[in-house]
Amino acid sequence: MKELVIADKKFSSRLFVGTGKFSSSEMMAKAVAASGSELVTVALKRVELDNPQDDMLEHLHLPGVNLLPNTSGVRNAKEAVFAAQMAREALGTNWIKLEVHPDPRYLLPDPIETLKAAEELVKEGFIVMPYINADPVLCKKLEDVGTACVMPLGAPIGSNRGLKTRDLLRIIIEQSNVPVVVDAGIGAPSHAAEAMEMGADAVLINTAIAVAKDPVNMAVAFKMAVEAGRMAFEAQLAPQNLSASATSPLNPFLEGIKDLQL
Amino acid sequence: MEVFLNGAKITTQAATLAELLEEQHVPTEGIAVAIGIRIIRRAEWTTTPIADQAEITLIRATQGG
Repeated sequence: MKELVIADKKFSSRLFVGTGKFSSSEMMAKAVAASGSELVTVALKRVELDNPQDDMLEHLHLPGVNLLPNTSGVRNAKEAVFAAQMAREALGTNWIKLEVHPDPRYLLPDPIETLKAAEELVKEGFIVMPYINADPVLCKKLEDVGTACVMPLGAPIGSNRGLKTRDLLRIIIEQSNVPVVVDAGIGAPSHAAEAMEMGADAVLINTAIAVAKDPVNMAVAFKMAVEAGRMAFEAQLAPQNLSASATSPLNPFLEGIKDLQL
Repeated sequence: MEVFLNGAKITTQAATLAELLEEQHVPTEGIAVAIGIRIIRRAEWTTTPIADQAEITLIRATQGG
């Protein structure tokens, strides 16, 4: 399979994973390792002064795993830029998953604030990976301001409902000159495979792995699905038809046998 | 003097940011610090003075998607 390149970095795995909602840091680390992912999201929080010893990051010191901090929790472009700058200082990376979703019910991203923040962050030298609605026009505008990829949603974060935006995702994939990472809403390996078969460059999965009864095996299942979907895309799917097309010969080889006649 | 550390008012004798972090037993690995909206680089912690009523924000990574 072809390697994925985002900015100047090569990825052999097209599965990105999030670290939220796991029952423990140990389980998170096992699932991340099992997924084979090379890009793993983390969020930001205030240091808890009454509980300053938080070893979450120690569990992510895994070979080949790069951290991708996100800006979750910000409400506008100004906060997003500040959060990205803080993330760069804390984690020593200029990669940022830009997400601005002020509405807590559906967590839908604010396109205007996201675009404003993306433009500023690109100017400041960040590798910007914006989480957005599946909006083909917005994707092109983000590409124009220099984001390293686009990350349209399949369905709201954590909803596990699959590719509800599939028709728009197809347009985004067709038009995009930067990698398309389908983020949010993918709830089953079959959804991930569908995204990859459509030509998405990668998918980002969190909830579907983290809250599965067996997160480690679910991570493996997603790894296999993403590989299968990508391989199918590269192999090029056979066309669909309304009518049947025989795969076996229809020659009348039993014709003429009297005892078989009705 | 009093400062606000992640929103909590505390009394401190620290003269610099580095002294404040030590005084409050904050592990410094993997954190970022801002006074107001000015991010203070790690190399500047020892030379950055703390002013009375300063609003100091400390952040670190946590689990998230």
